Amino acid sequence: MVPLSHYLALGAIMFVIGVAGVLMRRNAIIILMSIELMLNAVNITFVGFARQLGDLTGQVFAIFVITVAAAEAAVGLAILIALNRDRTILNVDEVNLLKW
Amino acid sequence: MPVVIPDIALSLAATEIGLVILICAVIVADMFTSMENKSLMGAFSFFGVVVLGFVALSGWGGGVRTTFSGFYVLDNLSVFVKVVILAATGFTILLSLQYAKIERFNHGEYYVMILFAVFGMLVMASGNDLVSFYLGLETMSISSYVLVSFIRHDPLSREAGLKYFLMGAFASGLLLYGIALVYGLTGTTSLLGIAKTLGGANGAAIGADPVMVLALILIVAGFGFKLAFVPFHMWLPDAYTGAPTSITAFMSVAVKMATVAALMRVFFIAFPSVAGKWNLLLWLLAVLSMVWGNFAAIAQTSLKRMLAYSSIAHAGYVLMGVVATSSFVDGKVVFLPLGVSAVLFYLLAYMVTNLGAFGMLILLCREDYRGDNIEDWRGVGRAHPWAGLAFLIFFLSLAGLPPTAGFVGKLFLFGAAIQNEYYWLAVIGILSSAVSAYYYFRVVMVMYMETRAESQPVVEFSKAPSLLAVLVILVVATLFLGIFPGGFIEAARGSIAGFI
Repeated sequence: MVPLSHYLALGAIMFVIGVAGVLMRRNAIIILMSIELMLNAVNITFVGFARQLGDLTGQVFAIFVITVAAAEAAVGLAILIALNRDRTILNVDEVNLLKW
Repeated sequence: MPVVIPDIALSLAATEIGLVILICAVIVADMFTSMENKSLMGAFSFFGVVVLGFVALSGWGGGVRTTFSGFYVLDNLSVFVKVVILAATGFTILLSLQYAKIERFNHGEYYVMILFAVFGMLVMASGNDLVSFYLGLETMSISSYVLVSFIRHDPLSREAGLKYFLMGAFASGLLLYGIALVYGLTGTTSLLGIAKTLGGANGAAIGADPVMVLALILIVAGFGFKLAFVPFHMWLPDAYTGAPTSITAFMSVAVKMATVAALMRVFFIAFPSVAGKWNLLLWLLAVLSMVWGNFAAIAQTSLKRMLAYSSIAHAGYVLMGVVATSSFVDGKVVFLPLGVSAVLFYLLAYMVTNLGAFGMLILLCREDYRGDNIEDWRGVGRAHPWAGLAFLIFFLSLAGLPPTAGFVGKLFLFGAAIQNEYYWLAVIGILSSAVSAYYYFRVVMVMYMETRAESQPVVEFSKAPSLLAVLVILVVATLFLGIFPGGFIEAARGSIAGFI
């Protein structure tokens, strides 16, 4: 049996990689993927805890998170497509019309 | 294993259920409406929202009732928040009717997305469990991403949408990881269950665990991003400037109201035993938001962006009230209800004021002319005394001067901070509020003292009756709340019954 600490360590590492990706990468699609990585890290953590506690709430929460992540990706990609309708921008540094 | 079907009192969620029925009705009706008549969908949604406002109001005074296995709670706090949110929604829809035609985004989906966002807010106001709170938050946020980027042909709106989306989704990730850690430590997601575990036999050990501290930091950061507290505010000026003005107005009042209500519920109900830790973090965010929001607003040339920065500062004032609720006696926390009532009254006052201020921007908007910049208001006060007076009243209220709603709200907030001995917070709040008077009155000066340049087009206000009616109502409400606040203060006091 895989102990809880392995799940938690995997979740934590994935989460940190996701956060680093959001903060350091400049490609909008990669940022979106990094956010998905963060959410999946949360899912692993939830499911690991749920297994350990013998409680279903964590599993249910993980399913909700998956659903929400799908909706979020749909909206996010739609916005990206709208943004790219008249020029191709993937680098977030070029999204710079609004500046103070 | 026998399956137990829980006893669910659907009537408690009548507002939300009614709202979903309204959303479905608007979607269906939208299919049978021609492109020219989409404003009918707005009118339809408006009347639905008015009816739902009364449905929500009928829940007042019934004590604390929970349903859906404790996921959902109906108490006076949630009723107060819901009624204010629905009122803000009604005003927003009326503000949008003409504006949507001018900016060419008059689609039925616009009203549907607003109603979906409102559904999320109502669930947040009643969320008694981290699961229902999270689902409400996401329903609201995802709808707001769409609304911000709703002017598809405008690059500014699309850009605002992308920025808001990326920061919002990142914030949800942080918040969720915090929730997952809390779940792991306490074994439950119910707010009451978490409080019980943290206050129980092992509570002190769990509360002192560094993982708990990390979880609290992540949850505070998640809320910080959603409410745009400094230093998590960088998305807000861009999102508010690029979004349709009606949506900027809606987000600055309704989204804030729902998120602050959820923040108070989560921290006051679930984490009272670790209040010392989160209160310090929130104190810091409140100070930074008040100071930086007001100073950055000074440098703006765009009126919309200036109001965006000012909304960061106002979020800071609201957070001051949240912080000032906790009082520490011998290391144990005691929640003093004055802070919560001050926060609720302030949010109500800010709702009428800020919707009005953004409504004035919409008033000046034409097909070929946006009127978002401060210099677009040159000489408007003298040429159009009524419009000048209305804007002046909104600015007085935003700056917190009598006889307006903002004055009573600030008095109430600073009073709560001083009574609970948060002197530094009150001093910083009052000083930063004095700074804010400078940039609000600079616009007033431009309106009354400067003359219009030759190159500037003649001012021509929108004549939409719905817009004018809303502005008159908001001006009257701003003055009424400032001169006769009694009944509303009583309502704000009454809404904490059974809460803390």
